[in-house]
Amino acid sequence: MLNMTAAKAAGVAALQFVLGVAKGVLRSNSVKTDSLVRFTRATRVEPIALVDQRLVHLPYMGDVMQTMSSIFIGYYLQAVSLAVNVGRINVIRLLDSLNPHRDVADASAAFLTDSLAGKAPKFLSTESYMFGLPSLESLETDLERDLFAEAAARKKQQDEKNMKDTLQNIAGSKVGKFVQSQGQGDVGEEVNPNGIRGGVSNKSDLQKLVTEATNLSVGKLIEVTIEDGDKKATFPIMVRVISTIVNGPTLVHILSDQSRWYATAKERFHMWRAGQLEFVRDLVLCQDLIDEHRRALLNDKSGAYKEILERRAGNAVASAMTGTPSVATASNIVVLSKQSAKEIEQVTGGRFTDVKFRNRLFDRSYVMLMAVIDPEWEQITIYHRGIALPTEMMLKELKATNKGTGPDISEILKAYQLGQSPSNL
Amino acid sequence: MNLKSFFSSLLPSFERSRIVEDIELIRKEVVEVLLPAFKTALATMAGKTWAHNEANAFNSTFIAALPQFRQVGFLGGAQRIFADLPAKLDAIDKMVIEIFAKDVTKDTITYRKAAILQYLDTVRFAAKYTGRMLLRLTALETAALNKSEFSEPLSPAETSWLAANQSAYLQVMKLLAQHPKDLAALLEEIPDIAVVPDRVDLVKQTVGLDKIDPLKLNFLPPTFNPIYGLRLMYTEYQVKRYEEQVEEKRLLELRLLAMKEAHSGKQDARLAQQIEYTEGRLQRLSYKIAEMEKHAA
Repeated sequence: MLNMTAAKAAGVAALQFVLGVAKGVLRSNSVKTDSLVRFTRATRVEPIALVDQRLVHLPYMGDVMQTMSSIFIGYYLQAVSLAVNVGRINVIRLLDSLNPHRDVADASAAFLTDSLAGKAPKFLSTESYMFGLPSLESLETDLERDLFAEAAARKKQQDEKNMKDTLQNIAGSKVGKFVQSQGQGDVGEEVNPNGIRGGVSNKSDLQKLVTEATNLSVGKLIEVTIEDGDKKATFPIMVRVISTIVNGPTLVHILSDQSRWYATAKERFHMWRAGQLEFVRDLVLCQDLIDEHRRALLNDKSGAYKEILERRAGNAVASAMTGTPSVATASNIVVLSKQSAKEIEQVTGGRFTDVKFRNRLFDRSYVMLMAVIDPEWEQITIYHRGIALPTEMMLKELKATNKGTGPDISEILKAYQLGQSPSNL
Repeated sequence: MNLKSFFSSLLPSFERSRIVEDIELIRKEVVEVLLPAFKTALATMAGKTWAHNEANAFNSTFIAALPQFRQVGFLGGAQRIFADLPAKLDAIDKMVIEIFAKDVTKDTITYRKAAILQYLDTVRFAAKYTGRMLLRLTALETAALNKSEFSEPLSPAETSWLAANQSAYLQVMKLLAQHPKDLAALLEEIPDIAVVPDRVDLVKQTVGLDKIDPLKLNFLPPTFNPIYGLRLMYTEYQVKRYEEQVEEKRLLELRLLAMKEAHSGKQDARLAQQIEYTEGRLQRLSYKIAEMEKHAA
């Protein structure tokens, strides 16, 4: 019994050591930051946009990119509002419970985290009979425990408290990092997540900033206000879409290959049965997937696809080190022509109107927004990751909207809060 | 349109009411959209020539193809043709009820019935072409009068459709310029022999092309007819077409108003914005309709 307790304590100590090292690494990294650009990295939001070369000459591409960046900002602001808690209320949890379309994966993850923190609803039997059985006479009163057992229980409680503190530190460091990354505080400083409020500053000012048709290479500046009690600070965040021009066939190749790689096990089984795949080489060792990957990388002359993959890998590491999930990994934008979309459909055998097919494309290519432009009819269809219905509009309407104050961010936000795609930008 | 291709584009069976509704929709487009637009346009352009080169060129081409309208030009000529159309549609409507059974099956289509359906197609084509061309001409004229940059009111797909079908349009207008009485007589002449695609050439040789196709519909370009090719989307298609007509009417009114103001040297920014929004809406509807037609073809 004693051995077990000691082992647990050692485990907790080891975990704390690892966390300490991780924080140390983080702190040293920030301290060693040698340029303003790198130091302000957290305040720069730069999603990659792969733009089909077939569309580059179109006169309204500026308006399209402007709209894409506004939609992106809509998502970003919403994420900022959700990422912080209000008092003791966990905003994400509260809103999730009211959402008609809840995510099972998120709920399970939250349940596991709560279980570790001892906050989970008591669905599972968590009683420990390590030191005695419940009374046989009355189920309501436990058997009398001896003194040693009582001491051991106290020790257990202490261990649990330590574990809880450690976990809170992890959670706290998320907010601490968040505050620091906006330009104040210390990296190591842990801020109680319950005490922080965050959100968007004066809406009309913000709207003015966002709707201002700034040059795309400069991006748009938005303000995010972070509050903790009476302390309040506003940080300018620059959102700039990095547009990369990719030629049509390469874009088709990148997107369609992606969906082929991740054919389901069943599909791959049938591909093997049909003789498309070899058993050991392809089905077991997945050599075909490695070849496809290499080919996609070789075809990616601009390096944008490589950058997306590198960002994903980097975000995964950052997420492990900070304990904060990298929610913006799949935040890339693709703008493709109807012709490329058709070619993708031909190669993959799917249809863009099919949500399942689109989800597969989105999942594998880490894309958040996909715009398909039909230059013949001057029509644009914007598909959003995880939203079944697309936004369809004529470029003439888009142009007319952008001419005034630009797309109405509050309208976009409102639509997202209802889980829809904005119908009128 | 080639009779064989027309025949193959038809649904195996459809109701007669579809034809009647189609006639009604065409009549509405002519009476409610085109004729009022022509009336305003003629009043605005009375005694004036087109200021824009492209508009002027189209007017000359129209006159060259239909010399009987030399005095009145495109606006006057097209207005006269469309003013005669409701009477022709009435005659066709009567004929449809007489010769078509309640349920129309592909096997029962005769040369006369096919000619009626093809004639309706050409009228629909002419009405659509005229509406779009009028929009373009008014936009060109307004830009020329205001000495401002021309803003294309149509999508590239529609502009190229206009260019590609110009000669067909002129041919159709020649056909539509016939007197209503002549049309009824010509349709009566067509023999009531059932169309069998494999024997079309044989019938042509034995009966004679002039008798089978006195309206020369065979030479007109292929236009897909969704009314007889759509199944479940039929109602939705009709609604979209109706909405398109409403938007086209509104846009034509606005465009004509802008042209009128341009003639008197005025420019209205609010009107320009309204035009832009309406153009967007019309384009969206045209796109939807084109998608449906593509889907059904």
